[in-house]
Amino acid sequence: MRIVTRLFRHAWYVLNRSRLERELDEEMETHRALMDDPHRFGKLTRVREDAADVFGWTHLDDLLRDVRYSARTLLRSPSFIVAVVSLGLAIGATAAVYSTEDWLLRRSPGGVVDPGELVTVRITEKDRVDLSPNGYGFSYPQYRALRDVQDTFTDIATYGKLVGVVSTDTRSDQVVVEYVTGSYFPLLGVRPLLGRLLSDEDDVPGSPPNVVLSHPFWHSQFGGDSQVVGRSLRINGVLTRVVGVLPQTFEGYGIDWNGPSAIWAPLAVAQALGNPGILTRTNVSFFPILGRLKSGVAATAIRDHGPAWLSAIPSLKMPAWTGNQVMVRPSSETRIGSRRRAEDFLGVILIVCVLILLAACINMANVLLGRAMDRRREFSLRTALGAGRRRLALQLATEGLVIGVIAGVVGAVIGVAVAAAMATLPRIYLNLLTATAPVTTFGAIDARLVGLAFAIGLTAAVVFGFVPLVPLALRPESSLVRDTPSKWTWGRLRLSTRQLVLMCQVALAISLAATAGLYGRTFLRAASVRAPYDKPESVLVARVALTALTPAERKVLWPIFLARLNDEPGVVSATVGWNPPYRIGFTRLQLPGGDPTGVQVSSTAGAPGFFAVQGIPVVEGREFLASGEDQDTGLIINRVLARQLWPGQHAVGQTVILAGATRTITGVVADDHCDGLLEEAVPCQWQPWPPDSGTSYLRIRTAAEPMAFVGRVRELLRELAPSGALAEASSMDVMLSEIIEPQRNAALIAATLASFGVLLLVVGTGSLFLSMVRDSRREIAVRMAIGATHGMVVRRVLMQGAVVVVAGGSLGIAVAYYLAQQIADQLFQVAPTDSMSLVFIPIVVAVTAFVSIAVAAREAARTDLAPQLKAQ
Amino acid sequence: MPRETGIPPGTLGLLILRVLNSQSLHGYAIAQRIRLLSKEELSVEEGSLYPALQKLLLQGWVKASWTTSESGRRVREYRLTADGRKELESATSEYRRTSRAIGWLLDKA
Repeated sequence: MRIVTRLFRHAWYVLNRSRLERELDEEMETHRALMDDPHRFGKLTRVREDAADVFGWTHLDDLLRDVRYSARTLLRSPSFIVAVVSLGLAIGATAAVYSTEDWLLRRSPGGVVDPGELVTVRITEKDRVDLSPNGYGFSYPQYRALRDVQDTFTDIATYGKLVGVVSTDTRSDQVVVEYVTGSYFPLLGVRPLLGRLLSDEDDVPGSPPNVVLSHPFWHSQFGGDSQVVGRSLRINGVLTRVVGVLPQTFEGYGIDWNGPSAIWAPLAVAQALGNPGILTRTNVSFFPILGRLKSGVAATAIRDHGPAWLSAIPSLKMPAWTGNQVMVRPSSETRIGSRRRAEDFLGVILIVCVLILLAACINMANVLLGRAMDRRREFSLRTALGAGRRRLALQLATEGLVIGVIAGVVGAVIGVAVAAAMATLPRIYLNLLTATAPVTTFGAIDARLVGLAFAIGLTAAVVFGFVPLVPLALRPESSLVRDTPSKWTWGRLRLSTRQLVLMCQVALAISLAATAGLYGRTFLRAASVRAPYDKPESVLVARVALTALTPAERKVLWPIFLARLNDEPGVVSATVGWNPPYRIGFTRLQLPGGDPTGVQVSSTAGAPGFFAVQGIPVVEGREFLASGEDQDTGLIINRVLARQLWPGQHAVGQTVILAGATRTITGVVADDHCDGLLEEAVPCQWQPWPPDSGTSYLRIRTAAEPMAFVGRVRELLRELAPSGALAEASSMDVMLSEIIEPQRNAALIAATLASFGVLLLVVGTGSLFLSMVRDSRREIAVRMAIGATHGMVVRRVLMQGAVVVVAGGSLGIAVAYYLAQQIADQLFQVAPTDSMSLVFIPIVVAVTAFVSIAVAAREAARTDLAPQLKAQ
Repeated sequence: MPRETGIPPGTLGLLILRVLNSQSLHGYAIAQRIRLLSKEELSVEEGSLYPALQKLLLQGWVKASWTTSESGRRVREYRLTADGRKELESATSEYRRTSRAIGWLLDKA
């Protein structure tokens, strides 16, 4: 306590320094005036200095002087400015990528009480977790049964997200509606911003539909009206009542590819809100279990053994499963539903950023070591003038601090800018193609990011800016005599600090160059990929939601809607399917009498004309017939599945079992990469599209510009189904590029970043080697004076360079190989052992380094002896 | 060469606290009072009085405030704080103990 008070008093004296100095002067003048002999008082300046010492002002003055001196001398050197700014850039990029990754993948959702106790439980097939990395939820009846028997959690809740239509008199919009049990909000401990949240009383069948709004939706739909509680909102054609608004900090528990939830409604009213069967069907796996662990229960225990209560539910296992495997996720891993893309992309960019950061650090160490020659003279001189080691070390520390602070400031500014740019472009690293609302990662921009930038800046300054120069401060007197910096010995091998730095640079340059090569080639390959669609620029894709209608009404309306669209002037043909391109589900198929486990296939549904409208060639058989006779029996597959099931045979006419029913293959299509244009070719199946679907994607081939037709589609929909909503209208080519471009861009960003790192290293390596050769001119001159020939000198310099290049190069290739294995998933049609990237590019870099060494060696051998020796 | 003041090193702070114990005084008066109370045996060097006062301020043992003296001059008066009083007590007994011990040692040797 005392120390704190003293510190405060010190701070107060520093802040009020000029006033206190004035007062002391006045006080001493009075004293002098009262004395008989004022001269006896002594020198006022000395007393003033002694008093300043008491308050610690002298140390402060020294520090400020050092800071000013360091800033002035450092900023005078352009190479230092380049080094520190590139360090700041690298720090900013690293801090931004790390913060975004950390926020998305490792931080619990905001606004939740004790998030460490919350877990979500899903199940998957035993020993085949790879087939569904996200796992399956449960059906609502299963959830009810589990809630009664479970004894692991204080309580459990569940939630399910569905696209719904919010309509007013003038417009209809698609939003994500999250249906939750009454236990959901009490379990999470979220507090409302306005009104109240949902409870068990709301979640009773037949109760009035009460809803809670997300903060962004409250703003967009109601303009942030503080009187919103009690107002009504039409969801899927049903009037609901707003009972509360959530705080901005709570964005929902897990964002899936439809984007963040806008509305929370009780599960009990989900059926009334146009989702028939959601609470009664037992063959769905829609609902994850959200639970708060009882004290003393570890999440790992549930995962490893599976609670007994789970196996008490007999209908849990899917028909073809070998067994259940419990998947438990802590709340910190649930911010986004689909983590893989973010993990892969951000992980890779982070690795590249850290490599560039290392490169920038080494570059700075380089610049500072390069100045060491001049510093040695300066330090020797200052020692001769009486400066102590402590004083010199303090000055170096201050310089380190100045470097750290400058790099930290640049890093923090760049970090915030990069994180903001990343927040506006989440499509690059999130699976959010069909998001109904914007998803941003602005939450990642916080004090932690700024703190991280400063921490990296200061650490880099200490490790790379201060430590290498410490010997200089400790032995300044010897440096007048010894020009060569300290040596590191390892067996018979002796290396100078600068040779070590150079070796690291070569290693980093080669690993970064190889990474850049892998990504660059991925980008080129990805850029040349063409979708199997014919003239996609003439096809309109749009999502239509008829969730406000009953299935019987939909069954009537869809065919009329499609018929009207086909009759429109300017429409070549129109059809519909469940999913947009490359965003489809998967299922299991069995062969009659074959393995009951079956094969996993990517799966979706298409109406008659589905492939013709999009221009996907049917290579065998035919599409589904417009007459509807294929509805319950037909199936279309791609070539991959045909070859897998019936190698060397015709697939059309063969039968498979899908969801317990036998279906006959009617056609085979040339869409091998149905699950992602840049993904592996996978087996796919298209079942006939059921006309009672709630939401589906139209495909309309038009004679003219397809986007010009959107207004007409909307008019038609309004005319036929006023409660229907149209969203995500886009031409097929734009949609395809939006799908492919993030992957291409990711490769391009990584390749560009890595190339930047290589550039940084090449410049740094070149300048370091030149300065090394320049500094050893005296040694060369002495050697030549005692009889060494030009050839001997060149050979010696080359040998030194070769050691560095070969050792650094080998290390670099090893690091590159390791990195390539880590990023294998990100590469497209490029093997992680790609010889072009892992052998050819490193050889080019090594040869370039060697050639520059040879040039430097020739230069060194031409050294004019006389001036060098005279200078001594 | 500093003037001979008669004040043993390290005891100036104690002397200042002691003279401020009975009344608030300004710098010149403190020096005068020390000289007077020590029967002119001890005299404070002005050069060390002010740094010593600043140290006491920083420790929080004295407080200073500006006032007008009887002669109409603006002066800065120092007074003892509660912490200062405690410090005075402990420093006095510490000094007495040390001085007694030194006395014994000098008598015996």
